[in-house]
Amino acid sequence: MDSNKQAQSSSYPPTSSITPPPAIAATPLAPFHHLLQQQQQQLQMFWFYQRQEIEQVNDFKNHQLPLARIKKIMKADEDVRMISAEAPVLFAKACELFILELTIRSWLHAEENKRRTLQKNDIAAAITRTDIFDFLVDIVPRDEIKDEAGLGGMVGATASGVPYFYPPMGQPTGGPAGPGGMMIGRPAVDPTGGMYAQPPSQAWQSVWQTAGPDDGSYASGGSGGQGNLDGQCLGLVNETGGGLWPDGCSMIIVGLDVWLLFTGYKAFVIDNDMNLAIHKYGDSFHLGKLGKNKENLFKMRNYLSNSLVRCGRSMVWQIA
Amino acid sequence: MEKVVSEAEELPKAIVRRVVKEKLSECSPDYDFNVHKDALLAFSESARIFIHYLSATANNICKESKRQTMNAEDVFKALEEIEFSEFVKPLGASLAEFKKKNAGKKVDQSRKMRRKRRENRGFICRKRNQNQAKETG
Repeated sequence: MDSNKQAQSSSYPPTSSITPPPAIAATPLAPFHHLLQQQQQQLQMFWFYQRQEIEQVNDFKNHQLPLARIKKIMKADEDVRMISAEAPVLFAKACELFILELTIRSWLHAEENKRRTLQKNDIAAAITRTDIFDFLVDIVPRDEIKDEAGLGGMVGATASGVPYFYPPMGQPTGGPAGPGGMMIGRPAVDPTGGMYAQPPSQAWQSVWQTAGPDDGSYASGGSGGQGNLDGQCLGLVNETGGGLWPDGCSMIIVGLDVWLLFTGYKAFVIDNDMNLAIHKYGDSFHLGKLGKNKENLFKMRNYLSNSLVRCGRSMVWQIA
Repeated sequence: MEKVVSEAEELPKAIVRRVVKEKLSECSPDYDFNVHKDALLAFSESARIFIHYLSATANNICKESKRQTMNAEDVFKALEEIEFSEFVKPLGASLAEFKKKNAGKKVDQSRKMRRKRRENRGFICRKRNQNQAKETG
């Protein structure tokens, strides 16, 4: 009926007083007054319950990252094949929680600097301070680290988050920068332009995980992240290290991640599971994260040397 | 083994923005916090990489169990592995709610469909009668 339509189209959230339906012209109000009152009451109840219901369902209606989009992002990784229906739901919520965490920590930094606008460097600071955010170290570059000139331009957040690598420019083995004589590099434009190295091969990942007993995870228990000796050594994230290893492989450490970059023509690698992989120029592999001790680095070196030697290539490492 | 990457899918900016701003107003209820555009992008990108990171870890776990399909359990284990174990509880609750809601939804939907069909049938009959009446009338 007309009067009902009128009432329903009134604005939401309901105002405290519901506009009564317009008086029906040419009819005395008195006999209908009690009806109108009743109607008003009913409407108030209606809106009351509506609101409650909506507030309860809020978590879901205030959507939530679109599941289809999340699925697409997941599938961008070729290794991920089939995903159950519940997984994207979990990911959506996990993402939300993650963003919340990041927000809080970034906010802290902004507060410390007496600002009321959250800026990118707040997020960068949050990432640096929190161990479990180490995987983001290259995604949000810090402001200080802006001298890109040396590497000829850096692509910011890479499409897949996998760092692009440029073979370290022929720097004479005049000592890699950094105390441990470690090689340190940073993401830069890939020479083949727009290509990105293959995401870490599963074989490597799993082998490495089984190989290293207690990696002594880099996250030394929460954000208290101190005394991670390696972390400190390699805090020189943005020094360019140099040197091509004689046979054309470079180990590059970015943040706490260690990557192996093949700059030689080809490398055949057999891992412990007898998986053969053929990698060529521009391929890079994530070797894992450095733990609390340099042992991991040595293990990596040994493991690699063995694998490559089996295939007829040798490696020489220089780690002090 | 090389691959050309065009553009990666991004998370919807509006939703990321909402999450961030809601939390900020929680953190500082007295005054408004603004978010720089670059910062929002950084949030989006970080979240996207987080998805990759969690996804790759969960996928590894799934493969280790010799399965093809990544399921909820893999995700939970992955969270522990990447040291985000504080997420496990709220995610568990969220998943339970989702399952409940979905169960209800399915029943509702089939009921709605049946009702609709019934109504349509009624409508069609009435229309037919009306038309017949008109023709004969």
